[in-house]
Amino acid sequence: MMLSLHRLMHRPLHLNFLPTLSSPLLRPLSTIPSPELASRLTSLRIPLPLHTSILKTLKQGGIKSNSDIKNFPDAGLLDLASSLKTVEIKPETNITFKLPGTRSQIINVSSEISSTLLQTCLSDPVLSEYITGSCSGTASCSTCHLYVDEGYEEPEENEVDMLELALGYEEGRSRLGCCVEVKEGMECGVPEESVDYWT
Amino acid sequence: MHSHASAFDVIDSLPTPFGLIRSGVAPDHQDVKNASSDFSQIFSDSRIRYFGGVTVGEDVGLEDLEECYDAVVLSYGCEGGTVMSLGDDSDSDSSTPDCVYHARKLVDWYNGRPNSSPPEFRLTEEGDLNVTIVGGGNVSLDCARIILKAAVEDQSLTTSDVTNEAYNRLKEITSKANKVNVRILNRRGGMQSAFTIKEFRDLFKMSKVGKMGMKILSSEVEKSENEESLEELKGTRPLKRLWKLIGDVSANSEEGEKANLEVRYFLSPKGYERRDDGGVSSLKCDVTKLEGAAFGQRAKKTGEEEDVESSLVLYSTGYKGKVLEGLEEFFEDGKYVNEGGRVGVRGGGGEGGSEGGSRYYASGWIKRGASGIVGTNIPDAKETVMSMVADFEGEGGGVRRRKNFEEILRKRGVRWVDWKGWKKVDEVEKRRDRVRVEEQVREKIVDLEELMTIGGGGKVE
Repeated sequence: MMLSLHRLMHRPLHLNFLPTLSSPLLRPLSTIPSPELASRLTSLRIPLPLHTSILKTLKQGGIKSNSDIKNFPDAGLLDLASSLKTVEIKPETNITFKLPGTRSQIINVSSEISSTLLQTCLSDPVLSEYITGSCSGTASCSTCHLYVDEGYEEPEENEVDMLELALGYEEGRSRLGCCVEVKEGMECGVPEESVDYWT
Repeated sequence: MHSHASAFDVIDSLPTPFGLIRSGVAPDHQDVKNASSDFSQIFSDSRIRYFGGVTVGEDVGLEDLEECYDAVVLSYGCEGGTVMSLGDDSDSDSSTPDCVYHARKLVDWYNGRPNSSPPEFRLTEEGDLNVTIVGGGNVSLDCARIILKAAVEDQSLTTSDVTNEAYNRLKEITSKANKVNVRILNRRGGMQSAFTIKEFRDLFKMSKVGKMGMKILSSEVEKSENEESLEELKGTRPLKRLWKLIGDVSANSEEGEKANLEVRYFLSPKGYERRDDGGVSSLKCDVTKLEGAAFGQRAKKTGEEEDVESSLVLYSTGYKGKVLEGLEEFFEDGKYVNEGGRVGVRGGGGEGGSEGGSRYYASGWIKRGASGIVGTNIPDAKETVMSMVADFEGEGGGVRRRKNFEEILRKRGVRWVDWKGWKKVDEVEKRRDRVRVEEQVREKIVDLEELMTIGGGGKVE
């Protein structure tokens, strides 16, 4: 008999984590969709980048409490998403991730421009084994630590605070995935310290 | 790849899961608490069971675990912390005045840990609340920040999941107080500061918004810049940024009208001054200086002394783990000696007719000591799991049929809370009629009996 831990540890994190771009310390918690709402929206096939806008729109319309949201019909959510989609949706782009270690594989992931690197990783079955977002993408941990080799921009102060504590931190390369917006032609690397132990 | 599953049981002394995410992380750090949804997902897998409210070492023993499990992972953290017994009559506990506690007392209380109780808040004759926190780690900063947020009526405390009882009491005492002075004492110098920059910056931001005064003495900043410390500074980039921030705070030091935070260095507690009512009135300290080589400097008494006005003293100078009875040979210096998470093998020859004992592993603080941030536990856990997989892989892995843990609990008449039971508790805590404002995610149930009852406490046979 053998233990199967791989399947156990594989968790579809994109159902639960909604990283955002704007300064984590200034964004009020209530505009980050709850795991329940995120899960529901995903099961309706509403793409991740729209989740925050949907919640904001609901709140602007007076649908504030969790129970109000629960009672809001699925059809309404789909309508909302499609109206936001026509305004908001941006084209997809391919970005690459280089995995560390002996595998050293390049993964091509297509991602919508306007999502973050963390969101992109969480929606990919291989990358989500390396990259976590244990603070729900608010620059409060360093589990989404990534290298950005093509398309690197200087991080802001509050991001550097956490980044410097990350294992394998390299100045000029390291970024927190939750703070980086996906851009055309981006090339990223997963730090050696996020090595996958069981494949 | 590995073929199929085995079963996992998670046994927690508390009825509620999530450990420090629920009871340690400060209530205004909700983002960090969201890590619990990651754990929750795992429990929807039928191969994992939760047993809350079961204390290993009290309700069940290691022999019971060995009858049921091929592997036991010790992941119960470090609970032990000491309140310093000081002064001339330091051999008896009665020498410690009232209003002196371990910081855990405050944290357990504001985080609604079952059967916790509030520290006593007493004001001075002038009506001030003087809080002295010994130790400068992130826990100390949490305690300071929560008290100061109450004092300045910060909305983020109102919307946090601090319990209603703690919220009301903190607001009551801080509004009654003339001044609320919080002082954090470090034994060594500024470059040996134990807190991390993000937490420290949050406090600086609070002071910049004009809500509270924050002070670091320039004399102590200068004293911190001895040759060896400057050497420590050279090698470490994170320290450089932290040191610059500490310098900024010191240069911008200001007195607040109502609330004040002072971060002090080079002070080591040595005794207490008492009030007539038995409470503490000040913490007597030795003024220290640094001695030794870079990265190994120690605090040495200078012969000077200072009294720090205190009506409440909280100690947060490190946490040591407690050993489980039966595992003493594997335990040293507050944690389990381990190799890649492997602790040792114990037991065997149980009722199930099985030879060979259970393999013990460790992860988290009880494995590496009380240090690190939430994310540090991920590579730690991965390392331990890798050892487990290697040990059980292939023939002769030592996996055998064992007893069902539920049988043992029923035999002993031990109640437990399973995952469904926890979800019931979760639903109750999140009820809107319990919270003080809409944004408060939950109002925790603090009564242990109530938790066991709502959680469905297993059936006693």
